[in-house]
Amino acid sequence: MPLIDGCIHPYPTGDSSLRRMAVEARELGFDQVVATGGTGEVPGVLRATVISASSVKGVISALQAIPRAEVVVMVIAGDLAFNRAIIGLRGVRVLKDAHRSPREAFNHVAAKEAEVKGVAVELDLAPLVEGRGLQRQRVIARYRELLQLHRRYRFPLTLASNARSILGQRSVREMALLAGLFGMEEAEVTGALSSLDSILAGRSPVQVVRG
Amino acid sequence: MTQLPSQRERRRYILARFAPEGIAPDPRELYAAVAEACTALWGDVAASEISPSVMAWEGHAILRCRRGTEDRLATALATITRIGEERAAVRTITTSGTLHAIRSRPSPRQEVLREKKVGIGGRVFLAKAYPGQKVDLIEKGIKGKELLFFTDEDGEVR
Repeated sequence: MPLIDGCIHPYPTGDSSLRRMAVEARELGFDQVVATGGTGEVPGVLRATVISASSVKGVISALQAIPRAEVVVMVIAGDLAFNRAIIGLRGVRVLKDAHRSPREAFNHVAAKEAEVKGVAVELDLAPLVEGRGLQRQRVIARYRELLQLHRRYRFPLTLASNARSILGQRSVREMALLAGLFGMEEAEVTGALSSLDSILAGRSPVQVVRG
Repeated sequence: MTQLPSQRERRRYILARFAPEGIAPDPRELYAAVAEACTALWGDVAASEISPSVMAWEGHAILRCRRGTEDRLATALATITRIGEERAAVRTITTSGTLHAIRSRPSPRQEVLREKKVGIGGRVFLAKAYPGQKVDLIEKGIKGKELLFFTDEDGEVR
């Protein structure tokens, strides 16, 4: 199972080119990265688009405008009704920034639906690295709640550095240590780092089964 | 926790390198960054248990802590984003029970292969090439230093 950094933002959004971030990710123990920008064909990079819309209509029209080459579609989370509607949309793979939405915005109902539809919830590790004090405490508490829901309803999770620079990227071990802050165990970390691979494989129209 | 016959507590040593490659921060600034990261993440009591210190300085860092707290120190190191005024990351390489084992490892520091000036968007950067096709671009201006990270294959650097 390939280990995947769930989201990075290369140059020009950040200060490091896509190639450099891919090189750094390999050195840090990752097999693949999901990138929201950058240019050129780089091995080990999955292309992604982040949709930030205030309404479901906005998300649908943004989905229609996405070219087929874009593999991973991520949507910024909102309130409960928005999240449930988004999870049901064809093509959406990841619910992003769940820690910024209110506590009740992702409950047991949304968790069940995410499990059925194979939509992952991203756990962004950048606030744990960059945040301090109350801000970081709130994120840890939110992730602990999401982890409890994940243990109960088995919807996929992804772990992402959301790095805008090679200085923001963290190794697999460092990500595991940071995920340990909200109680994630090693097997769960491995599952979260490789969940995108199975999500993408499960959604492809033709699946190759080797006997 | 077991103690040595001398009653000294057992310790662990962490070998760490820095990103970006070329920086050589002041050891006191590194200690301040490590202490702040430990205290901010784990609190005063746990930080005193970890008792971090910067042991050696040869282009990389050897950090010391009490045995059993090395994971907590490594987690705190992962939350460092600045050393002094400079943006930096501290990458843990290995943990050992003896300084001898750490010092016997080859230095993780990478030497500059070549330097040249590169223009991007009307700005002039000093490009430093490192092994692994890495190229760090440095622009020193009045407002400070700006860094960009590319590779040999990126069109901007060619």
